Amino acid sequence: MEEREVTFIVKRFYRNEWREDRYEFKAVRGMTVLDGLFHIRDNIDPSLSFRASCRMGICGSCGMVINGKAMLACSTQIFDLGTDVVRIEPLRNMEALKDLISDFDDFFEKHRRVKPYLIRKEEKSIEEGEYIQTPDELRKYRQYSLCIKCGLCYDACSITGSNKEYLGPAALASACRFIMDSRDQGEDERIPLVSDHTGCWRCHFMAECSEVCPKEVDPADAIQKLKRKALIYSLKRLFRR
Amino acid sequence: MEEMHTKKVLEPVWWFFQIITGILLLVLVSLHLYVTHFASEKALDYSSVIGRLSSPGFKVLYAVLLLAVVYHGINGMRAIFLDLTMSDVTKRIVNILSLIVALLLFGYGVYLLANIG
Repeated sequence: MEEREVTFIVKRFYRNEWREDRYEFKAVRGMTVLDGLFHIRDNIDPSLSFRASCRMGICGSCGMVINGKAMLACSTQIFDLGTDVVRIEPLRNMEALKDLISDFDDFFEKHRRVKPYLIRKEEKSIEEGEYIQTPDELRKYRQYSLCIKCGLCYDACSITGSNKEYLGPAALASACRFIMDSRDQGEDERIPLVSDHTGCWRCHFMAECSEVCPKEVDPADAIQKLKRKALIYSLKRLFRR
Repeated sequence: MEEMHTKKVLEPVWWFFQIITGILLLVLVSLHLYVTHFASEKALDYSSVIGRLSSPGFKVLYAVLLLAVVYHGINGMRAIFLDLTMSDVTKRIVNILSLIVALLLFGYGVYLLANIG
């Protein structure tokens, strides 16, 4: 099996101080960056902290910056990086808690703010059955519902870095997912939330969020759709007054 | 239910006009470059410039170009400033200053256009 000596340079945060530690070990073909981190923790430095859970790109726990780009460590093969030196940092645009662990409180608070659930003007009773949807209606928003809340888009977005109030790509994509859902009737509640200074107008369509998204949710596309929806909604409001 | 405030209603409209003026700029700047660089070798001579700007058609064309440039530029700058974390008061100051600067630039440009020729 192919083996290679690799160096992991890990940017670590502990007790309000940043430092970089270097770890050298033999990586084998097929080893992911997450496997490398587990190897370091189990064999070299047990104090190294990072988040991980499913190890198969589903849970979104192991998002981190690998060689300057936000990626899921479990979905990134060390040999595919094209270098023997791997620089790893915690996600930017979030407070670091310890080593590679970032604080997602703000990220999830923004997600909560866009009301990520079906809003009905009148709820049907269980006896009346489910809300029916055609496959075409499902296809309109399905892509946006694949988000695993890994925070990579939040890291990649430069506006999230400059404006702490900005909702960010994940929350806006989630808002779009519900606005485009034929079963949802919460447009009057949700569009005002995403259409102010902290919402979709801050996005300049650099599309880096879509570039790093491991699930191809394409938040940048969702935000442009939100802009169109907000414009039509606003024009209707203006003429209704 | 949160009522949509007028400012929130207008924000999408500013964005819409940003796109409209962007498209307009593409057409008008191309036309301007064609007239000043390709249509005639003497297009940039003083007499040619004054002659062109004396014609009512060019005056209207340049007034529209000026409006598009001022709107697109100032609204773009405003959007960049609003990308920074700031208080509501500072946001209001940015909005008011943008409006004042835009009106001053457009007013001065129109004044010059009206007095040429």
